Amino acid sequence: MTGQAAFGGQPREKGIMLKFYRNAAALSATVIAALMVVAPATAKNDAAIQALYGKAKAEGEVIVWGPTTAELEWIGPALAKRYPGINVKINADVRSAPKIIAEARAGKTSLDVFVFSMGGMLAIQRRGLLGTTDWQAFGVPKDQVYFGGQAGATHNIVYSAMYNTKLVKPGDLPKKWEDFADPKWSGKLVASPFLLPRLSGFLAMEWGEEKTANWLRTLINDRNLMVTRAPRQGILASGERPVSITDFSSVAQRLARGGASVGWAWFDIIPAVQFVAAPLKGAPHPNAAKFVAAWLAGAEARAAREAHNFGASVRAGSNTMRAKEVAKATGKVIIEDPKNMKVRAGLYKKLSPIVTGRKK
Amino acid sequence: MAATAQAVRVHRTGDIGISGVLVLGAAVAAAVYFISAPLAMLLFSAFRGPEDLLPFETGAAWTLDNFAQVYGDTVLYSEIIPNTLVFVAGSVLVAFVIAFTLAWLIERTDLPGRNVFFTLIIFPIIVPTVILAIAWMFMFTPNSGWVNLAIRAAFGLERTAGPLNILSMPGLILAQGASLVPFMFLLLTAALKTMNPAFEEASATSGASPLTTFFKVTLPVLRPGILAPVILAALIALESFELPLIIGLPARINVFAIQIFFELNPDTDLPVYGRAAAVALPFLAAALGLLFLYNHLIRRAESYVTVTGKGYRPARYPLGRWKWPAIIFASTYIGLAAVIPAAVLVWVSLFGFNPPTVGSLGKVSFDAYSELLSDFRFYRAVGNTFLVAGLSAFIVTLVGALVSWVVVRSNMPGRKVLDFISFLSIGIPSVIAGLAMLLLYITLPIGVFGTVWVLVLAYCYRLAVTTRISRAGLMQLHQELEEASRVAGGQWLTTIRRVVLPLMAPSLVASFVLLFIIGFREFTLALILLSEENMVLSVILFRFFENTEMDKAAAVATLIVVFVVPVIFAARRFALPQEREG
Repeated sequence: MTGQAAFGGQPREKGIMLKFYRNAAALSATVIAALMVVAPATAKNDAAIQALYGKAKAEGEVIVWGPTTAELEWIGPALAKRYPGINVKINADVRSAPKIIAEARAGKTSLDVFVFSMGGMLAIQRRGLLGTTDWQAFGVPKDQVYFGGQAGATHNIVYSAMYNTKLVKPGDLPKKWEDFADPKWSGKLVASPFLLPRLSGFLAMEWGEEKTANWLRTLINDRNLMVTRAPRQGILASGERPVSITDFSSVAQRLARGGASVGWAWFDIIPAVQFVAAPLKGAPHPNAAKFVAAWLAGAEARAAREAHNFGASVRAGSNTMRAKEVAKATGKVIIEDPKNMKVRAGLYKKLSPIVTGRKK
Repeated sequence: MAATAQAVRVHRTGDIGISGVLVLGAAVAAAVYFISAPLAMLLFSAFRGPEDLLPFETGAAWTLDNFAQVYGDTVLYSEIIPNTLVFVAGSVLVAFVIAFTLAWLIERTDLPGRNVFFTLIIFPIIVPTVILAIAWMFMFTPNSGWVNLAIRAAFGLERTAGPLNILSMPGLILAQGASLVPFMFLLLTAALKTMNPAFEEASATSGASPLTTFFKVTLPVLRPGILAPVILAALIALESFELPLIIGLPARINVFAIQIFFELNPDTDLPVYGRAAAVALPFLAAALGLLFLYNHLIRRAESYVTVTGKGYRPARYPLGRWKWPAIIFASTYIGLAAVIPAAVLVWVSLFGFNPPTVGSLGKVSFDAYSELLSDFRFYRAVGNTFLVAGLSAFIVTLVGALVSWVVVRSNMPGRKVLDFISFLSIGIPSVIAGLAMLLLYITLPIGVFGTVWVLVLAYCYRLAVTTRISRAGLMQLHQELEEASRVAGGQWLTTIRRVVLPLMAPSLVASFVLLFIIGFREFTLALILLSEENMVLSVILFRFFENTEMDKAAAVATLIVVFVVPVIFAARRFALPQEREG
């Protein structure tokens, strides 16, 4: 499945707040729609939510950490619209885990809610640093609550290829991941050294380790795959390489909305990383932590997130645009969950040295 | 040698008075304090495992597994180490040739516009290396690099790639070399500025040719001032991973420092500090080896004294017919390493990744700047950055100068150990130093954690640069200058304040400027110790970069340049003795 830059002709993105207000109408409509869908659950749990909101509001503040600003910056404005009175402070760092562990060890936990990929959350969860909250009050399905009630599913980011729409037509793209090994893609592909092993881990769950390793070797050694930490969108825009094979459809859509000439494509395997939110044990604002973590996994926040950065849950039963696209796609969807997480981690550990040059 | 050293080191406790003892004691204590936590963490982490536990956690144990995993890999010996040696030697050589020529032109000749040249030459070190690498990639990637496109168009070449290719070992060496030039240049100008030209004049009067004078007089006399930047540059190249990751990895050039990056961004959930430390320990060994070599080569300390009480006047060679070749040489470097990257930076901040064509001009957008400038957090970050970079640079420069005085001039027991320890900071990856600072300041009940002061303290661990510069500068000052002050009744502290520090001004200013720039660019320590209150500009830049908002990242980088350039200009203009150009 491919996605063209529907916003290609629009001016480039405004600031965070400007961006938010510009999308306010769309956001409001989405939130209202979401509210209507979850109305029975909301009514049922309204008392519990209002009680928790009251306590959270009394604390006045919530501190949310996550991997990138894009994952967090929408939370403050969206929460204020629905539940005013709670000031949201955010901190983006992909290497937060050691800091969280060190702070907890010193008894100085400084965050309330942690939003991260399920795999990234594991280091914190294993050490017993997560608290619990009432996920059901916010309508979070039971099968989307993990680690014995400590984390709730928020959204997925879906691996896709991202391409320069001026240089590549959607029809030219392959239908399968393995087709990138075709000589016609020689010198045309770029990948991130951080994401390529992770994508390979997903693919290896379907293909097996050996086939995936051979695929990687072919791309790197024979197809001159450019593996670099430089921003892929710049490499695509300049035409140095027209296709990035390690990107996310949400990122491509965000860039396209900003005016970039990029499209995205899914193939025969659609890997989706699972993001979760969790309240911290010993959080400085314990009620706000419980309230905001659960809210982040609920339908309202899911809709707001999707409107802001296209990050959306693709799990069955989700009412997001992305879930509908995934449902229509022909590829096999593999969503990260506690069952397959360990297998995938084991596979990408083995495949990573090929990407990083430590193994031929 | 011992006799010489003894002759130079005449100071004992009685000579420097109680105030001197207190000042030096405080400086030594500060130096040890700044460096000990990161160093201890590095040594500690290297021997702790398993990998899914942080080194300090319950359950972690002593182990040699980290070394077995890192050094049991055959690729290390067949590929990584040879690549690293070529990369480091090549980039240091490139940097030295360019930097020394430029430094000599600026400090020892009548090259016109020297202050402007000085500031522009330093430009590449102001811009975060990641941004610089991206700018060079825009220019020199084989398929669509702007310079390659221009060359192909100009010469009607039908090929679709090249002729230049930055994604190669020569490309990587040139890029790393160019990025090291400002660093070496700053240190070399400090050495050249304090060199008394009387030696060269004497050589010339004796009939030696300029080339003979250069090789037989200039280079030997400047040995400490040259060796220090060469050694420091070699160590910086050894541990630098930004350019290898962006330019080297696509060319399948694997160097040692890339391994640290992968250990700290591993496939498991937590950074593997143990293996990163195990990879970093050879940096310390290399640092120690190079420092031994340095000390051996400059053991005859009196040979390098160039500033005495017998009068000292800076003199400049007239370039004559070499004026234009010199201007072209300096301009070419500045064009490739400063002007074009600056243009790319400004372009991306205004036009995003649109190509540099007339058609793109209509797509100009000031959104990146207006968003930044309309956010109060940006102004707080600017204030924090100036405070942290400025104060830490001042503290480290002062402490480094006093530590150097202890090492060069005093008989203090353990001064050699102090010299080595202060130098070791260069071999400690900042991520590991950051973890050490986090653990230290989160535990110490001094109330700095989460404030801007924790960053000031954390940034101060980079003592290696300043102690090398100060030591080289101090070795150029004859002991008789201090003796004269003492004979005239000057207390030790007065002598240091009114004689030594002013004469060391070129070295101290170079150190301050360098540390100030490093402080402005530093984001690893700032990110690890981040709170809502102590946000600095480099963190904002890094977040935009990670968030794929390159226009905003470029806007922040542009503003960093705008903020730092006047400081460099002012430092050179007002903190150093001035002379008329021309």
